[in-house]
Amino acid sequence: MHDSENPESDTLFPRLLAKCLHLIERGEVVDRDRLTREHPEHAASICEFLDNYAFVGAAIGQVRGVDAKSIVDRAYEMTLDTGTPDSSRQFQIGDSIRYVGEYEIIDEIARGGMGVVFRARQPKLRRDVALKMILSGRFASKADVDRFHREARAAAALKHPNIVAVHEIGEHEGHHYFTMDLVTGRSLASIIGEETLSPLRTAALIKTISAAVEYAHQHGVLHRDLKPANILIDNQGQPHVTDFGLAKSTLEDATIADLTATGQILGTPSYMSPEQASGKHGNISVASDVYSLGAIMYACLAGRGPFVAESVVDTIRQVLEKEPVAVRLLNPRTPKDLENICLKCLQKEPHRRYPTAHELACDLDRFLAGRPVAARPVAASTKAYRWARRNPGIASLAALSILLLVTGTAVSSYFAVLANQRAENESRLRILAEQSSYTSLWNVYKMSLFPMLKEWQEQDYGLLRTRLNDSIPKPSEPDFRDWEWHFLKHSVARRSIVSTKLRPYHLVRVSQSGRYIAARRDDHSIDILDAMTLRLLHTLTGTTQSALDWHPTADWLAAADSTNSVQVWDVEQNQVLHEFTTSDDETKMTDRGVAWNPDGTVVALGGTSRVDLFDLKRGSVRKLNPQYWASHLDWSPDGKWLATGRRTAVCVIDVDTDQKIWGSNRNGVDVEDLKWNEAGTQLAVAWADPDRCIRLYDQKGSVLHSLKGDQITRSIAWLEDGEKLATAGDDYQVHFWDVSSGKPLRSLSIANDEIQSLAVATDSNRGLLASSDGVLQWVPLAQLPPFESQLIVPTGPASITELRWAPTDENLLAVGNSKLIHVIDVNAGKIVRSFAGLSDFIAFDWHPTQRSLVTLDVNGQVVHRNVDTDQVITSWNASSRGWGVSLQWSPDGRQLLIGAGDSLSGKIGFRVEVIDPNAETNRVYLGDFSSQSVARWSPDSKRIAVYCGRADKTIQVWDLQTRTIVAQSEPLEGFLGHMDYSPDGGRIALGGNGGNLVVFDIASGRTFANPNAESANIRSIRWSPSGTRLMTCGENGKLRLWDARTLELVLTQDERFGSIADWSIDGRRIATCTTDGILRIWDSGPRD
Amino acid sequence: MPDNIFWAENYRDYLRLLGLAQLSPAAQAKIDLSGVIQETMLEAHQNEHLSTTDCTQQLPWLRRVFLNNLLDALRRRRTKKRDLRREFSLNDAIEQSASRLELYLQSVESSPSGNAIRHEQAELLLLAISRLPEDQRLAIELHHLKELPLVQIARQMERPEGAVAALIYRGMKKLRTAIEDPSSPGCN
Repeated sequence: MHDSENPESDTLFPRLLAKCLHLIERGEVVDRDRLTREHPEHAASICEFLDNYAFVGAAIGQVRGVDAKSIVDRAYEMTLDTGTPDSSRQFQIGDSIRYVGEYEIIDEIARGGMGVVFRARQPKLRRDVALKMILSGRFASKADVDRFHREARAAAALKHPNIVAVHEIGEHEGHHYFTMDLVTGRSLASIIGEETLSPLRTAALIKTISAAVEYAHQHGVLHRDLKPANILIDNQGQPHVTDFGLAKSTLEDATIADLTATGQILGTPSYMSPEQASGKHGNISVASDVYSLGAIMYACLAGRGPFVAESVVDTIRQVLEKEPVAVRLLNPRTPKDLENICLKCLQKEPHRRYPTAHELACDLDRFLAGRPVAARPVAASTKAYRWARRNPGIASLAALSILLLVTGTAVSSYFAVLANQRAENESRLRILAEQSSYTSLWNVYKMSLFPMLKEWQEQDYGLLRTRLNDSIPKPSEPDFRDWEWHFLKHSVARRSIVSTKLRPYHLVRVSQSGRYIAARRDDHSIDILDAMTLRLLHTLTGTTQSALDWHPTADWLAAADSTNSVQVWDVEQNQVLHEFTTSDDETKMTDRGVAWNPDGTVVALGGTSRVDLFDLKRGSVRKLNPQYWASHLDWSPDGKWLATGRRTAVCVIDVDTDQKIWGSNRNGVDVEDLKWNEAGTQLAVAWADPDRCIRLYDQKGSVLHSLKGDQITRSIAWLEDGEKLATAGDDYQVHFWDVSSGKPLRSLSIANDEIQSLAVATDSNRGLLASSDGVLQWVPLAQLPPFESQLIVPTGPASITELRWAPTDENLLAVGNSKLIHVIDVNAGKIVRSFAGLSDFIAFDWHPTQRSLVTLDVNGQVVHRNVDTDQVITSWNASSRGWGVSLQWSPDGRQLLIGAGDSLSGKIGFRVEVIDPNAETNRVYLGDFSSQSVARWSPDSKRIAVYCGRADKTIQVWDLQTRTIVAQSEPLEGFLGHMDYSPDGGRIALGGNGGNLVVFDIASGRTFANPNAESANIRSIRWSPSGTRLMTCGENGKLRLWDARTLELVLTQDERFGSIADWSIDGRRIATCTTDGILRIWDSGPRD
Repeated sequence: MPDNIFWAENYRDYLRLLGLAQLSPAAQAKIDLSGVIQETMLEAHQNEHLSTTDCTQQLPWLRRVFLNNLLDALRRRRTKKRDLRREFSLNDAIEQSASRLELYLQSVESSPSGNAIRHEQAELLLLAISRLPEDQRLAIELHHLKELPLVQIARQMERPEGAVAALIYRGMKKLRTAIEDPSSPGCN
């Protein structure tokens, strides 16, 4: 190379280079023309430099190319036509195009399915615009170009504050472009990618967008490609719809077959209506845009589009065939009305959607104003449930799809698999698919837990039971169920004392003795069941019975048949005691009431416009004339009045005088049930009116309260104190009401179908529910706490610091602090024994095979004593005493590990020793460690793990025999003061300050951490005995369960139930204890 | 390749460049990149069978392990309390780098035709940078990957700005040739 050609020989040249770099750093453009003029000798080299700079810059951009934008954005970016990877290169900035027509290109904003969007300056009008360059490969023919221009012109005619205005359409060097308003802000896609929007925000946003879309429709322009990426949100939060009418050519004539054949990626069809996805372009209408608006609404609420599948083809298939997953399943905060609006938009058949975007906007307006909305596809309160019952498979499929997106495993699958892919690739893909299937199933299980937890917290045990059953894996699938599942299952079981599935009963009544249940079947025969076991004893034979009532004292049942007779059965003997027949010839009726008077001497039988009173003693019949048909009867407790109810009316009659005391006529409204309270001062009537009212009347017939239900109430029961009313009916729930205020108290949701009848046991504690699905169950009426039992233990002047279940007895645990240690029998719910030390305790541990506790006090005194006899077995002094103590029996029970600092000398941070209690001199000194250390035995009693909290912050696994470190973790962040060895000895879990959760895998030497596990310091960490779950309990009082493999949360308890916890030895129960001594037991129930 | 040099050592620079390319400057400051590379080297040492395989398999292996380790390191760095405003932007940077890495890893792992070419080019570029003369490599690394201003690079390299610019000029010239010349070897 000659010197003259070497520009670097000149000192000016490096300075020019540096100047160029400065310009580039500031984001300015180097004016090459001026450069050529001013420094002709260097112009060529500098231009080469600039070219190279652009080249390397672009190449590095490619390395960094996989952008960290949200998944939704990425999905949108995938719409880039990857078939021609180089086409985008034509638009490198600072390269060939700096000017497009009169526009000066400033920089690139985005790339989309159709081309590249630039920020450009229009010097003439002194404004900045967005310039969209259409990729040349976009248009197949001249006709396409014409159409583009035609549509762009139509779009340019749209002037609406929420539509991005199109200014100009043009052509530059063969590339078509158009310019539009520059909206500074973000696309809705990138916003959704980060977080879902609140229901109100969603409704307001979609309403605005709908209005804009309506405006365009009015002007004859369909959008055809509405999706979050086409909605720009400005800095004021206002939406702007972009690309109106311009997207038509993208998917116009592509069919599924085309897509698979070419392997081209043409867009995510998640937001596309079925008619578009199926290529029925002739059917595209206003309703197609309405569909897309619904899909956008869905994405705002759920964080993803209504259909998500592994490939474009599968997505299209789902758009055509599947129902979208209920939004509320993905985002439970979504109001029902909003979900209904959304689902109405997403109907497959265009005519079932809102006919116009305007009507959608109106319904959203109604929602925002709190008025009833027009969209009402299914009875709202039971929709999710019915949906889940109808399509149990889809619920899990849905969860699977979300996770595919969330975890990103779907990223690669956006690329359609090419037909000619090599065989080896296919097998690799298959393996990947299998792995991902395991992961997906895990994700499905994990995702199914969240709604279950919510139902548990909301005490919707009926739905919870259904979900629990749905989450049982199929025989070929891995079973991920663990403590959390059994715990939830047991929570349901506790709320249904006895449950049996026989047949639907319309009316159930419990005998006064509490021994029998009489239940009227569908066919009007009566089953007698054992009230304890719900076992069917026998069916009353004879004519069909239509009404029944138990005698107030004896186990006698009065049963009315459809003619005019009443039989009184002695149920115990299974024989008829009395039989009455009225002489009147009356039409057969199946709907009549029968009731014993309070002293059990008279049976009242309701009929058409009369009530017959059968006197048992006299054997006589007397007629009352209520003027109404009496299908429901109830005697007032003093036996003076009889309340009768039937279609359209309630009437209270004075029995002696046959005079009407009061009546209430409601046209066309049925009485479902009526009951006097115990004092006879109030009558509760369940009306089957549109308002679903239960009315409380006083003795004069004035309405005291109207209790409004969601659905028809079928059955009423007064609870013993007369202060509460229990009602049950078609909403599957039992509601409890405060009678004096008329306010609802709470609801009990345990039934899985409409409740036909509710009966309350005489002690008021239990209720018998008969539901339409044939389930008959006794449920506790009292509100049960979420935990199984609770015991308050004395704490003395200190806080509770330690809790350990006994390894020998699943009912025994010890809990204590420095002053007191209590041994508690959990089954008996009492303290068996308490110990107080002479000096403060600093640690205790159960012997693994004996019912004995070892304690260590501040003076280094070790005492091993039997908890049953309180006798000291051995006692000796440890060589160190003081703080930071680990005290643990080896799992084989032979040796005791003591790890403690020396508070006297202060020189020893943490000394670990192993002592043979039978030969006290036989001590193994493992070593001195830093203070704030913890030590634990391995399950095989051969190793000891030490976490050095102060010094190197590693976990060291020591072999006791050789006294060497056999495994060591990397240094761990933070302070992790609580450690537990996994039952299989392979892993060590640590939890500590800041809520850090770490698992050290000994074999691989790797650590897995969930640094954001807890918001507060962890106080207890325990492996489940199965080794599949980790439990933590922290200073925030919350109990949480983690999957040990992934460290993902599987169960959480939001209330402050305890800060320390332990797992019972059989893994069935967890005990938690608060620092102030409230001990609670959480039971996962017996395993099948 | 000389026998006494462990094969993976040849890729040390490449790994650092790959790491820098994947991390935003904010994340770069928080990650001990050389530690991650060292960790990767150790893993390579432990997998003796790799020494005997050819370089077309070594590099993808190394890259995958490295990126995974880098991802681990990023995850460890995520600050614990997200609500601390002070840490928020950093957390963002780390989250972003991590999610970018995850995506990159996935696309590297399962790249169909179109992407494969892109990754090959990316690989070529990073390898080419790693084989530049020391001072050119450093200048390009600091400018293009660490995105430091020229002033700061000059200070760090203890050279005048013009000299640094000239290094970048020469380096890029070589890079362009290396990438555009198909005869340049893919491996060592």
